[in-house]
Amino acid sequence: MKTQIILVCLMITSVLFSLISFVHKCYSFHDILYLYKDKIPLEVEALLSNDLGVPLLLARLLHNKLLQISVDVYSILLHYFDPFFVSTVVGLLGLICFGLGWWYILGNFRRYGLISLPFLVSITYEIFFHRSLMSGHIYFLAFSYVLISLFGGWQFARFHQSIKVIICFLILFVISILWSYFLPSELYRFCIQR
Amino acid sequence: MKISLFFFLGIIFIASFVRFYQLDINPPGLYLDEVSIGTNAYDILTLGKDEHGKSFPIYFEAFGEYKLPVTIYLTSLSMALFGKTEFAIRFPSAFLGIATVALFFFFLRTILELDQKGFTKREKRLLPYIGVFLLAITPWHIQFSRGEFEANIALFLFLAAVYAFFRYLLTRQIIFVYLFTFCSLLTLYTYSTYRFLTPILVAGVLTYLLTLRKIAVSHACINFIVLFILAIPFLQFSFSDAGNIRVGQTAAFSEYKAENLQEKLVLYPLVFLKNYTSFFSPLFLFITGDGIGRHQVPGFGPLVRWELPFIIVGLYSLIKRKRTKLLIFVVLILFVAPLPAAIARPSPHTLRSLLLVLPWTILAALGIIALWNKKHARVLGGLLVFLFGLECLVYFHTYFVHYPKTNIPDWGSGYKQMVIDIEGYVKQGKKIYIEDSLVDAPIYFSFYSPTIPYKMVTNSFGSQVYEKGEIIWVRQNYGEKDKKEIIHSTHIPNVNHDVFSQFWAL
Repeated sequence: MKTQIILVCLMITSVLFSLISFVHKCYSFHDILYLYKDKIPLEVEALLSNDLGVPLLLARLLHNKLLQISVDVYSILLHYFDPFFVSTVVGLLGLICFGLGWWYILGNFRRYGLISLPFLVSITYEIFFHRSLMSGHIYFLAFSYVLISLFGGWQFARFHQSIKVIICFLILFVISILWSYFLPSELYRFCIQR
Repeated sequence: MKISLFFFLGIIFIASFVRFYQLDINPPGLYLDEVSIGTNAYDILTLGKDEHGKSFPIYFEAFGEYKLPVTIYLTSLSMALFGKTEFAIRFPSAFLGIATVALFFFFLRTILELDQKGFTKREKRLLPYIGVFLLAITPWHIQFSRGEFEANIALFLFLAAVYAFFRYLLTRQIIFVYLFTFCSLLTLYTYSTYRFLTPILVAGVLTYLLTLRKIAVSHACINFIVLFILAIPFLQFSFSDAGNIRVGQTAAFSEYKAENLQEKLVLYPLVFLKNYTSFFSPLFLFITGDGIGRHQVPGFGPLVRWELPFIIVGLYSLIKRKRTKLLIFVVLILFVAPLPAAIARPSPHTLRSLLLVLPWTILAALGIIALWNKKHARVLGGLLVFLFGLECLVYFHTYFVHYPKTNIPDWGSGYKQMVIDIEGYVKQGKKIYIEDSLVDAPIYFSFYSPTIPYKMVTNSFGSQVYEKGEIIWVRQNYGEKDKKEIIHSTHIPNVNHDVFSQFWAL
């Protein structure tokens, strides 16, 4: 239990370091993080323009709005799992714990699936209803990332209680702080900044 | 014919088709490095010298850096068979791409034979077929097999070396250790990334074999000495200024300013870590790639999007098993392959990390099998396979129909057409002056029409000409279409019918 508390304290400190900067600076997201429905017909049109000489039926089968929406949603969804986006929200240590969190959630979804619910709700709203949301959505999204990260860290600490693990976490903690401090922020890639 | 052989040959046929179909015209035109390789290879074949007059060199000078020799000599052989054509230049890479697919099958079979307990008989039977099929249609591998990329040839050699090592473990025939040494050595002379990877591989393998006493010390010593002697030219080159030009040009750290040693000590490892992390970004792997037009089809990453769920399931299924040799291989390659690429820029980079295609493919194949093994997940697995297949169709359509139109500026067909058009004017007795904004023109002339007399000039050339009537001034597209001086335009066969170069009569 002692190890768990130490690890979680390290993690919370590291997560807070990035989180404060994220929620303070990020006002809203760029287009890449939500579905812009008006763009879909234009994208299909652009793709079709290269299909000169291709039978219309085939061209329509391969380039249509349904396929394009699925491709776009998939791409946007992956942005929310991009290591640089996640590390912008919860830091490097948080990113590793975020990965661990999903590992434990997917490993036993019936038991831990509920923990991923805020995350799933949050990104669903971000992707589809971003524009109609109020300014608090960034906080809710950040909370869902923190929740999964903390869960991942907590579970890992539960099963690996040793001095080696504490040392590893400590090293990662230091790297995480240095990462946030020294490297140029990736925030501009995802956020409209305040 | 046994059904398994039928499947294997079917997959090889598919791999061959997608690598050889329209190879000479798609990608659209030879890019700069391909032309350079082609020019040197042809000179070696016909004169025994490179373009700078050196006889059978070990390193080829090109564009202020040095090219490694294996690809160029292979291209010479290919040119002896197919002549001085685009197909001949791309043939070695395409052929070895297919060979990689075939070798991957035997590699998987061997490594699974070594893993006696980790996999069921059914899994051992299915995995090589699914793995090899996925590799045959993976955009990452297809893209680099269809252009003359040194990295693709090196990938074949590296896989051959690893295969020889595992084959030795299985059969204990010493010939495989020599094969391992030979292939490892060739990787050093093929692609720069293996300057870092091959020493790690050789050291790891020799240490493993010696510590577990799986090889006689005498054989290990002979192999090491042979490798060392044959690698001396490589070592000399690597430590020379010439050998480090490219390293200097692409060093990741040059982008970051560090005032003193302390700052460097903190900043550089962080930059390395950041670059290293970027190779595992799902965005890079499935959506955006590295953004370089020669390395990908627009809208597609190096791996198929719907491979991701299989990779996740495959990873989970592999880790949950006992410690298998396949797991060790996958984890080692996953973590080691991006190391040299992470110290270069831009990062991530699909070409420098091409080796990663192997572990990702193995994981995806394992994921398909794992989903199929669970009866309640078969519907989901079937749906994902359907989506995967659909995306592959869209990819191949995009590659063979869109790519030759949309990505011409990334390749060189504009330059080729320009040289062909110029030939006509030379026959009319015109003098040719090329504006230096068409910076790559000389290398394309040296490949397509080395006898054409021309001169490179600046963009103020037109105002300095007094004897008008005999001169063709070839410029970039300046958009001044009403001017009478423009007598011809080289067009790009894309949707907009863009102009690549304009011929001005002076």
